[in-house]
Amino acid sequence: MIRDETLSRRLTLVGVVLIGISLVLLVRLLSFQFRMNPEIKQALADQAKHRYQQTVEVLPKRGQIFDRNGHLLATNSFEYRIGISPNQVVDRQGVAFALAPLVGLPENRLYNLLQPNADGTFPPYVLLVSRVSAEVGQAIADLDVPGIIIEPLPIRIYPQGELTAQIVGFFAGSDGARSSRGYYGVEGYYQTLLAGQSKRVTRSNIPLLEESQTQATRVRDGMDLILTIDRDLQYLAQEVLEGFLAKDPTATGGTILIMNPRNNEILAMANYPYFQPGDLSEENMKYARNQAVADVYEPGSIFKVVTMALALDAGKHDLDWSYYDPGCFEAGGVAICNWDRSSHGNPDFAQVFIDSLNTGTATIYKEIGPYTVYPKLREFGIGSPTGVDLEGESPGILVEPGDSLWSEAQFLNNSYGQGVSVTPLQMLTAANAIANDGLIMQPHIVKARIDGGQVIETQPAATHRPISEEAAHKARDIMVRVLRESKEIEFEFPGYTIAGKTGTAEIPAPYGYEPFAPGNSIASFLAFLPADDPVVSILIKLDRPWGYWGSMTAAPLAQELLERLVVLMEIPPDDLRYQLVAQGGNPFAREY
Amino acid sequence: MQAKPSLWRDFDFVLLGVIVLLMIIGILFIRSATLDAVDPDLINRVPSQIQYAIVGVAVLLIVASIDYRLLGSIHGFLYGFILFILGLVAGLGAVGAAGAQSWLNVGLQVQPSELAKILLVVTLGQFLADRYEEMGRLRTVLLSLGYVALPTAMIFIQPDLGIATVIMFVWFVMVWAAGLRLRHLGLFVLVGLLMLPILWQGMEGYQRQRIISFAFPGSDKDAQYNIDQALISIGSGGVVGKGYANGSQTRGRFLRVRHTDFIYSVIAEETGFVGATTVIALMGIVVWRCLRGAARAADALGSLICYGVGGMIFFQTMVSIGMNLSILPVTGLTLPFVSSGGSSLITMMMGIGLVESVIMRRRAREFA
Repeated sequence: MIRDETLSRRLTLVGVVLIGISLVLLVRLLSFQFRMNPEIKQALADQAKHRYQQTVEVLPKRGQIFDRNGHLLATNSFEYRIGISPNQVVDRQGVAFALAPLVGLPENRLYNLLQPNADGTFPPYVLLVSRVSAEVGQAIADLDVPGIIIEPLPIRIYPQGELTAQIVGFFAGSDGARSSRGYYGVEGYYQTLLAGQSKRVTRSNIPLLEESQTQATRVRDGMDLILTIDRDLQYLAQEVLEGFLAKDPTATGGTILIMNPRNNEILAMANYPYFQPGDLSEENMKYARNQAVADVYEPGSIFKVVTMALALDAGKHDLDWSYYDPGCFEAGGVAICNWDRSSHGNPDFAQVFIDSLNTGTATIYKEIGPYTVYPKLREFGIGSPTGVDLEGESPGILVEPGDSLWSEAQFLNNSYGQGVSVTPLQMLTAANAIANDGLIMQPHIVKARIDGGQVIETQPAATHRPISEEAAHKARDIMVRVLRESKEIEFEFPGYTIAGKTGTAEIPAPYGYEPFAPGNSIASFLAFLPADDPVVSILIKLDRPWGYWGSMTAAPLAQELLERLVVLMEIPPDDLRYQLVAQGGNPFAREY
Repeated sequence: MQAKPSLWRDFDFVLLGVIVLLMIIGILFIRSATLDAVDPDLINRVPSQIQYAIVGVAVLLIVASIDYRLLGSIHGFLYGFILFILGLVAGLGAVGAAGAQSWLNVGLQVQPSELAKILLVVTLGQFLADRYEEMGRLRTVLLSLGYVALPTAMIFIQPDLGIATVIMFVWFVMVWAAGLRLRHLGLFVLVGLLMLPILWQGMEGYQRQRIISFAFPGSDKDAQYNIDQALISIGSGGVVGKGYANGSQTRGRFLRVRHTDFIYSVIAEETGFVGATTVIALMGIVVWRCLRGAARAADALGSLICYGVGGMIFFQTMVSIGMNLSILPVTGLTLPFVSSGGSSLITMMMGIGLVESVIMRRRAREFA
């Protein structure tokens, strides 16, 4: 009755209106999901992506560094960076209360950091504290606050401190781990190997989605490195060097280098001054470089061993050669004089080196000629970096014919180690050619690298043969006579046959050299032993000692060093060594 | 000769089935919206929604079993009861989650305005059915307006703009169904437009803010945030969505009040266009079954009740979805049967119970 009239008539109209409104909704929905302007859609997607994703670099473990006996020289620990995603925090007051003391922020400031921005949105990430210790990091992790982000930051620890600081280098950066890298020494040279491969992970702020979005390449940890350095020899070298410097009134620094001439492994490399790892102050960083490879000097008379060897190899000179020594002679407008400025009569070839006669070496050079000498010097590695695996190596300075600075006087000066600049490592590497039967091996400091479980040994490789084996042996024998027969050298080492040479270099000054006075020389000593079967070679360089002469400063110091070195390295005296060899055994108890 | 089974023979099981389906969808997406929540209120949303759904079905069956004409006969008492509970809220109401003074704590928290809205459908139905013959007169229409205006005003000052608007819409649908004249309709539109400034004055700050931010997007960053997030959610859903419990907007908590006001955005993000239209279609079926009931009702009261309930469900659905789609301002109205919240769900189930009561008794006329 009733519904037949108005009600049913109106029902149709109501239905049409309702369906019409529903269609509006549907069209609107369609336009959102399918017909949205691609630019707007992209902008929205970007905004969404930015909001709930952040890209994080997952850092690999930096490789550790050991000495040849497994003592740790560099290792890692962690500090932590603490951040939070405020949109995941519900109980802002509670979180602020609990976290404030741990991150070292006032509670109200922390609470404000958790608030939305002025436009009502939340920042995806808020940094709370850039570095906390492992203990604090753990305490924060234990709070189990939703949205907290704890990132480990590797820090580098050097257990041997300053002892190996210049060899190992240091690890630092302005912004924690991300931009940190190794500088100087092994840390610098092997930065890529030590660092390994990090990966970038797009991490979701949304806990449930994390798993599916963190698939990325694997982190590759850095390789561990085993150095050729022997911590105990390093300590010995450092102690002997510092002992001398502490007593000397004028000495400013020095270097003691210990190598195995057979494969040119660097066993110890001590310098003074050195630096403290971890201290990035400018004053400290002045000494971050390893002077033994970075600093050049004019070596003086120890360079005569190179002159001697190349002369014996060149063929114009042999042990029966002799010359008239005038004490001084003029060449190219410059006076070439012996150290004592007096004539030594008619010395033979060996006597030139035993008495360290500048006129003799100059005469020898004159007779050989620069076009034979300089290529030989290059073969000895003079004037080029040795290629040692340490960051910051200097090539030294060798002026050759054709260079504007070259002159005949310069050439003759070179014969006794003036007018040529080398690093201590270059000097010892060149001398090691004599110890190693004329062959120069690649000097190196990394004995092996460990990649995962795999140990990759560094294979010793020859780089040059500047002289023949015969020339090397003749030079070696003369070097033995130098230490035995020189009346000036204060060096006594009974029981052992040692080849060596002292040197006293003048220090270049503007217009010539510094005058003859205490503290105005670089005194050095190089040696290898046992002379007939060398296992170790040393170079001592003392900057500005009071005693001036290498024979009176560096030589006694070498004696002190070697007396302890033969014990540490277990090198037997000659008679015992010959006994052991006669019995068919290995005379050297320890492998170097 | 009415045996009990025959009474239930006309019970609309399609309507009940669709509503149960909607409630299940609701529970699933409330779960998705509150997954790994730490706020205890949010954690309890899913279990309590399940309880409300079960209670709601029981309420539906109980109300359906009561003869709507019996309720109509006590309309005077019911109207008094409405004014009484709304008065109680004004006197000793609790402050609700959103800061509005609209919750009454009696054992379980009920929202008197929700209850008032559904009871008004019955009393207004009876009021109009009684004056059915006089609907052509403006006096009757104005009288009916006054009849609902009193409780609506009490709700408006709570303030609950959403429910006040729902009641006014329901009044309009029912008066229209009862035979409102077109020229009276025109008059109301005119008066309504003139009334707008006064309405504006009576609004709370946040209510005005919502309308401003709707009319001038970007003017209020905070309000705009909610709308932007809803649009990002819906826009990023695509055809089939990002997958259940995988919506980044939802999981990242960028979408606020996502378990209630913005539940539709959650559904659209995670199930895409397919899910979003399915919900609209299911809502359409509910409204269609209500209007079908209105067409088949035994008397004017039954027909008007069905119109009222159907109109109410339609209006709330449209406003809620429209708000999610940014074609209507944010009002805080829930999506019927789907959004989290006991009061709204139970009262909606009461409404469906009333419709079922009408549908079940449509044959009564034939035997009377």
